[in-house]
Amino acid sequence: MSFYNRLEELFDIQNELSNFFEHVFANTDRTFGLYEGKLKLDADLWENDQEYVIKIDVPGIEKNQIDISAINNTLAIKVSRPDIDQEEKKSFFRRERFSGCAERHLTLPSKINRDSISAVCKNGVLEIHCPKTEEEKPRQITIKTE
Amino acid sequence: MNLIKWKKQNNVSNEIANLNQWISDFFNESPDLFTQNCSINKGNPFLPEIDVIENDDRIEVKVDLPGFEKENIHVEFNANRLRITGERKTEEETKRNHYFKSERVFGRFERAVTLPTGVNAQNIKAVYKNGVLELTIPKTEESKVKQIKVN
Repeated sequence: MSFYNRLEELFDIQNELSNFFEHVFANTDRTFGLYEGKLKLDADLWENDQEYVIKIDVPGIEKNQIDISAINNTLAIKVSRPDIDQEEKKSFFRRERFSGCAERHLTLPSKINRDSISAVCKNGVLEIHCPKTEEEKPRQITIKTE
Repeated sequence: MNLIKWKKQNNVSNEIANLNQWISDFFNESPDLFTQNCSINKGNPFLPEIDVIENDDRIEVKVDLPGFEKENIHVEFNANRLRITGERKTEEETKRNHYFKSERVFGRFERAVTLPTGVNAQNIKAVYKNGVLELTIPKTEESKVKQIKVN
């Protein structure tokens, strides 16, 4: 009985080590901080009765480097961050943040009023409000009783 | 990459000794990698990206932290090890009917880096601007890069 217990323990240890190394080496580039990442442009998109609201993480990007355009009900958001390499006398000890351009397209589920889209950028978060057209807003339907 | 002394005889025990040394070095030189991947961050998807840049007279650390409040970011410095923790609170929105996408991460994060040279901890400057935390840490006099003239 005790022999099998020990064997099991050994297998447990082997599993633990396997998991450990898998986890550490899963993102080798990121783990060793040697590469330059890609900006994911994580977005939250939700709606209420009046409008669609989009919030996108855009850290370190100045207002004048954000370009938002709308075709029908698709928004194209382009951002760019200056290339860090161009500054002199820098040597990277660890590099994970991206530099360069990134783009994201978001198609909204229904029509929007393109002329009244508004956008604010604060603390590295871009917030876009897209008002719905009148037909898209929900209407209460009253039920008549006969 | 460390230089390994070239040994003339190439027998197996030497190779094993080399391998042992390599594994030791690997685990000793990079404690940061393992704390980040194995401790509280395991299973937690929130790992903000960090750049550590070495200049002649200072070290710059930049962390992408969009949508934080200054009060919720904490920077600690101890024995050449910089530890940045914080929490992004979930936002109170007025009326959210229906989510189509929810990709942004919230909650706690922790990142730590061991700085490459000796630094002057008294004068660390930290600025949070545009969603990026920028730390400027001056080096000690001995660590500064000195140009040496060749005659």
